[in-house]
Amino acid sequence: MQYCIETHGLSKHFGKVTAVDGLTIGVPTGTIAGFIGPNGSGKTTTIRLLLGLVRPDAGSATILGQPLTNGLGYLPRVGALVEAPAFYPSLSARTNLDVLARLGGYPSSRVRAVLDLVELSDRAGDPVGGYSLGMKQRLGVAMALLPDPVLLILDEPANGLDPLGIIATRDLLRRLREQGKTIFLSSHLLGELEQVADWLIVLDRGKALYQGAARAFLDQHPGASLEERFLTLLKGAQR
Amino acid sequence: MTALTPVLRAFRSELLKSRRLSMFAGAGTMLVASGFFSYLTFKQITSGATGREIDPLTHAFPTSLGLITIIGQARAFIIVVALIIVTANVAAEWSQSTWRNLLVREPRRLRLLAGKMLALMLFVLVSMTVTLVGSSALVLGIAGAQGVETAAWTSTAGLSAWLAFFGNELLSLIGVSLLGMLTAVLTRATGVAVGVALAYVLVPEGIIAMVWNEGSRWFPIRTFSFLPGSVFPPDVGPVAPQGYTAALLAALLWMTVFVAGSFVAFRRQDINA
Repeated sequence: MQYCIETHGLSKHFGKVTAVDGLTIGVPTGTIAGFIGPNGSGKTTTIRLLLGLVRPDAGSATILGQPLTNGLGYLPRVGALVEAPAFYPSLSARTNLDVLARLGGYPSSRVRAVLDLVELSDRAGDPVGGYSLGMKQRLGVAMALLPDPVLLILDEPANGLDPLGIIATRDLLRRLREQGKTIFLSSHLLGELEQVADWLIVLDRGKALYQGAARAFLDQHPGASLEERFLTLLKGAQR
Repeated sequence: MTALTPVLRAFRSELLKSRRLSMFAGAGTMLVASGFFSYLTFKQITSGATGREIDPLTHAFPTSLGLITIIGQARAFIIVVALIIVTANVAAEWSQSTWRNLLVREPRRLRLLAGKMLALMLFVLVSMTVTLVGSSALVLGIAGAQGVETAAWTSTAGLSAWLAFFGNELLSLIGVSLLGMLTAVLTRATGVAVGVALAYVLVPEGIIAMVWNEGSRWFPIRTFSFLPGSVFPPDVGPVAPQGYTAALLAALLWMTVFVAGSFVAFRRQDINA
């Protein structure tokens, strides 16, 4: 199996707090990999490590065949939405995207394309500060898609979306997978993950409790939902 | 792609952010307040007021240094506004959590910061230029309307003095902008960064100067203010007691320290915001 993301013993401490603890995981290429765990389990720190925003204290990782230390080797092919989307609120959605397009050297046609894709073209000239939570979330997804990435790392992309928005995001993720992209998806919406994820990584206290095919995870207890399996696994680990 | 391409991209990207209302508010404040200070100074001189503060300005008024002495009264204000603009803009990338967007698109941190700072410094430079030209035009216009003799101000010597003042104010502005960058990188929050930078510019060097004048002349804000001060008559000043060249070298050294400090800190920082 070919992996898009591989980590080996990745660790990160903030003072006395261990956020990520010797994490060894792999995300197969061309899959939607669900990344789940309770709050504070280290999901966002792992994502920040993979994006080069924080530096590991120990361990290593390979993303798109490039070592973590060579961000320039893989980041141009990665799109990311980390936690709540961050913007310049007084600027329009189009200008916010233009800021990133100029920085990454992407043509302005990409800005129009991603605005169309997340259905924000009609409001693209409005200041982002006046957007609803769902619109901000869609703009965050647009920012992640700007480089037409091979690997998409999304942290709670459905946060704040209404049911129609959640369905649209689900469809978008499936379309992106069909295009051969790999999606590393952190989410608390386990019902949604159950519908789209091919691969699962369950994190608790910075360590991986489970990683493998989503189907295999559910098949261990036929009839149980992802939520039930997740809670059982978590309780077992915390005993 | 050359080594400068990422810097140029970061510069062009940052220019887009200059469209924000807060940026124009800063530049507008600089222009309006400086024009007002210049107008007040002109009125005070031409009204025949006397006093320890105004007499040196009155003496310089009919000379080739007259115009810059009037518009130069707002120079500290220009520097303070520039400091706020730069510091707030750099620190806001932490407060708004936008570094994470930028660093995913451009992981070469030093080039990103360099491009950003070049754009910000261009913005404050253009703002300062518009302010100084606008204030000069305002004073010349009022003087013309009141029949005040201004031939010395527009003479070759007067224009040379204006350009010398402009160049030295520019150096001073670059210095405080770099101080603002360092403060923002170290504090990583807009309110704290602006507060710390302003407090440093306005308070500690003045207090230290009262008890240790000999040493304080080498401190950054004092050396930066000596540069434009050197163009004015000695009794207007402030004139560098160590001499202009020594003050210039000290100012350049401080700028280098601010750049190095910012780059070293930013290169190693975890972006958790």
